Amino acid sequence: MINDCERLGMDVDDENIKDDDVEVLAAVEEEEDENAPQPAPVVYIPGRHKLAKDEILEADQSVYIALHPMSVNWPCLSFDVLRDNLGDERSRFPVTCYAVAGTQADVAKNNEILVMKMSQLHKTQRDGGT
Amino acid sequence: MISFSPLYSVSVHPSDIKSLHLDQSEDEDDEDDVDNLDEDAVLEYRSIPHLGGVNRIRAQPLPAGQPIPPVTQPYYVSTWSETGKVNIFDIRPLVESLAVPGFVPDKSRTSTPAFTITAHGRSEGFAMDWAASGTSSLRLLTGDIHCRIFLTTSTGSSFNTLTQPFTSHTSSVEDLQWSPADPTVFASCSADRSIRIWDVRVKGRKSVFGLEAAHDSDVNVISWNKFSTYLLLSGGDEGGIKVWDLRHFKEYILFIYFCL
Repeated sequence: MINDCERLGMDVDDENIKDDDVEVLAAVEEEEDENAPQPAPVVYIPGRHKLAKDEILEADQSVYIALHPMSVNWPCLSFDVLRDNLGDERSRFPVTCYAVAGTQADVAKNNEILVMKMSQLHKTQRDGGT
Repeated sequence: MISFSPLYSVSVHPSDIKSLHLDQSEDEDDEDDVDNLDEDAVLEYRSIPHLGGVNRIRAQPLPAGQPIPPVTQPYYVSTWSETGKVNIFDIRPLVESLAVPGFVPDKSRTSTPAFTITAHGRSEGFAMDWAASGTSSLRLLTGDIHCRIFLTTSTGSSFNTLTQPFTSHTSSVEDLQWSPADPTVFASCSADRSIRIWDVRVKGRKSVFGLEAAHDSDVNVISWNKFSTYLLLSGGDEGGIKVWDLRHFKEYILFIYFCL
């Protein structure tokens, strides 16, 4: 069963596979010699890589124009983007967008539809990784 | 008894990224971004109580390039509940209450569904797709895990579900997509590994064309090409993506395989 997050990932139109919507496995070891080149980051592929005990995923900030993690109370399996009246084909930051999601709560009666407004979404892109 | 949830306003602090935000204006007069450096992203929401986990949620389509309609008109979203019901809610007043400070939404309009599709009985589903003809004529397809597809259309201020389902699949219907070119045509895909093309005008509600064994496993997703009336994309559980030419449906024209 493909949920909407996977569908969204598959819709990304990008000629360069490396720039796809994936997390980057950050190099953990520290270099004693500051002039030595940093090890190239490894792109994390689910099912192919297994995280070691203390390894965490770190987003490659050079890939995303804007990346803002947010949390709600329950996990959601499905979402959709809503139309607003802020104009078509907007391109200036910070941006505002509206979305709707449905929850997967612990019991049936605790579920909700969330109508969301996300604002103050600034550009976060930094070239050359973190 | 259903009660309306109060306003939630959550300010989220990004945990992984640095607090330095870079605003770059598109044109020459740059905005002074010193004041923006410490601003965090903001998430505000309104919630509607919903019985059963939401398998899928979809907003109705609107004409391209148009803003959201006035608050007096509905903005529908449909939910596939794991209870087997498909609910259609009017969320327009809730969007207004997020966009316009001080706007108080009419609870009676938002907290109960404008319409509920009960035709699927207790069978839950995941497949769901809206289409619109003009601004007021909406149609919604829903498909369940017991192979049935129902069509619901808007009638004035409410909806009506056709009694007879579309039946040709032999396993769970995974995805439904209206044709962008033909208002009476839609495609479906299923755990029975087939992709089917349907026309709602066909008596007996059987598919007009079925491609069996389209994938080695369940077919999970399909998508029409918006610009060409005969190209269809499908994705299967085995990790394969296939492009189909409906003029020569027996063979796919491109096969990309993602190995995990």
